Amino acid sequence: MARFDRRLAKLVRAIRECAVESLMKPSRLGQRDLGNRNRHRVMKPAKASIVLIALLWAVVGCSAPDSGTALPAGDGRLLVPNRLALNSASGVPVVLVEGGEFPMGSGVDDEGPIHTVTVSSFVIDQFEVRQSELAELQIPDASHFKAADRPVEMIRWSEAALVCNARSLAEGLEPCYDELTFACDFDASGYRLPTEAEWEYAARAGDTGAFPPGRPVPQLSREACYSANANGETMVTGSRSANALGLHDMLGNVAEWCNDVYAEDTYATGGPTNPRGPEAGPYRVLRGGSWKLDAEDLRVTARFRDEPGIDDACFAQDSYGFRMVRRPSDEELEQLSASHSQP
Amino acid sequence: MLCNNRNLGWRIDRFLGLAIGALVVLGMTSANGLAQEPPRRLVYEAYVDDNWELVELDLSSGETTNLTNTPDLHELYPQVSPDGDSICFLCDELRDGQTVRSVEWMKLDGSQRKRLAENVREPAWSPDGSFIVFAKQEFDRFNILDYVSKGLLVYEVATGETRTAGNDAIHHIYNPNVGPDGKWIVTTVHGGMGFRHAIIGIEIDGERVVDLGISGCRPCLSGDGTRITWSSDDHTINVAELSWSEKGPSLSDSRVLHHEDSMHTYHPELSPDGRFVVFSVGPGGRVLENGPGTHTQVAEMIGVRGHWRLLLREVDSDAEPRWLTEGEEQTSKEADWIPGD
Repeated sequence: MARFDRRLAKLVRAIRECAVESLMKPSRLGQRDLGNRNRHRVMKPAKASIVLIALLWAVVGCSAPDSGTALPAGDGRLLVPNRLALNSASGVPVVLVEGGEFPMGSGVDDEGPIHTVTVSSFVIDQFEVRQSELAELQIPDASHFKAADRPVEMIRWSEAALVCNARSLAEGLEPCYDELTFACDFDASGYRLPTEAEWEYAARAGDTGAFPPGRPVPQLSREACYSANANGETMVTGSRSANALGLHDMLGNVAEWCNDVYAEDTYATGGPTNPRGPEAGPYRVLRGGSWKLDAEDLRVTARFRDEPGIDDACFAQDSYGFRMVRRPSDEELEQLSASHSQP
Repeated sequence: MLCNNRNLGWRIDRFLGLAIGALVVLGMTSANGLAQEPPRRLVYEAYVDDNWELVELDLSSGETTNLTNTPDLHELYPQVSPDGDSICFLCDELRDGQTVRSVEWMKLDGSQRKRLAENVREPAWSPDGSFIVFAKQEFDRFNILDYVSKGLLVYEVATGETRTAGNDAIHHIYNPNVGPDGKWIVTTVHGGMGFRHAIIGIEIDGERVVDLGISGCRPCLSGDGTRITWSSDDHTINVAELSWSEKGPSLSDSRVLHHEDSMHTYHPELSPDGRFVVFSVGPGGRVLENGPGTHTQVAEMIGVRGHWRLLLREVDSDAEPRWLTEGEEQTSKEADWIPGD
């Protein structure tokens, strides 16, 4: 049996290396828009390899760690950051995630180069922002798939920023966004959209693999609402299992707006600590894939982009949503520290 | 002074003089270019000194008249009555730190101004002038987004009474137009009534809804309701023909009227006879040298950023379009024709 395991492991390794080689080939992964299928330029060259990996995992994946296993380009360690589940002042479930260091990106196209990034501790919504939250804030909700506990969609970046401000005010916090310029004050105490780095750190949930290809299909189905299981619409938030940080729907359901302006070469030019993306540009970043997309796009490193809707008319996508982050208070950081110093 | 300008301020005096001079020259040349003579007058929103006012423009003389003159109020979205005698419009005022949006009415000379309803938006006249519809604001608190509406109100001009339209499914509509029989509206819907974003016909007091099958927003009907124009995207104005039956409107012969590669185009308005379309042209980029244009200082209003101006095009004609306003010092947009000339 041990001999069979060794041979199987060797086979797995060979296929993974083959897949990595294939994935490293130039593709059209960069410069993708998510919303409109006609505008959506999806990476295709790697599809066969990913399907192969997925099939293999479907066979042998029962022994794989449930938090996602890295491919050989990284060391594949699972180092889940310390975290603390909280409720925000307005009753929204949030998770305080302890900051740390992680390898960001996959190395392919606009996901490269792989580089080490450090993020500070942050508080992040446990779920994608729900439609009920907008109703409580008296904010219009253009979501197509109406239900109080489904995620908000049909929301543009600029509108999402305004919702962040509204929740900040409702909780007595200082809004982050200037509502004229949409500049973000990262020192403010209120809510904002996550940076790409924060988002990927939260989505990885400690997966240090430098090139996570996405979850094995059985695990992806447990964790994500995507084309194979979505039935053509969003799901109630939290319908799928949480990741190792306790965060739901980081992959799938709705693609999530990030604060960062999109640039193809961000990883080559960004700083190593709390990178915040370029100063200006026509697009903002979306992460996580959505109910419309296939497994190949449901990867924690996959980057998407679209116009933020600051200037244009009211066109929106039923697959775009968001979740919020904010700086933790000193008291919350003390709570986190205390919770992990206990035996 | 060239313009009959009651209170637009020194900037209008100084720059509109130059602009109108240019317009007169332009008008002389473009009048030759146009196959037909356009209607003589229209009303538009003008953004001057951080304030929105309604301004009447005489196309033949280039004269402008400020109809509102209210530095503390923003007047927007002019809708002239079918007889050309009066006008209803939006009025934004600051009250207890919040914007309150209302629909108001006055004679076209600015007299007899009165408020018809508060927390409402985007009025539209019935073709016979007997009633005005407007969308009811979805929440008590104001929001600048255009689709924030739930329900439709009907103001009866003869009695001054307002009733709620019978179709209680109306949600997230904006830019309504009343159809020729007074029973339907044609409007944009965004994220409501089962639509993502569409231009639809809605029975005011019934339940029927008709998808016109076109993308875009901000439709406008000709006086008899047989022609429609709308923004098919941020850069393109379309026109099409409409026919009406008991089942509502149906659309045919959709065609592009105007396209701008880089500039944005919005708010197309058909002349009552359907022969001309006037629309707003401006930059899509974020230009912030002007103020926000709202009491609550939120940035979500087309035309506040940069300088927008009005462009006139003849439907089904190769005639060169004609600029009606200049945009160096002020924004002018969201025009409506004054019938009867």
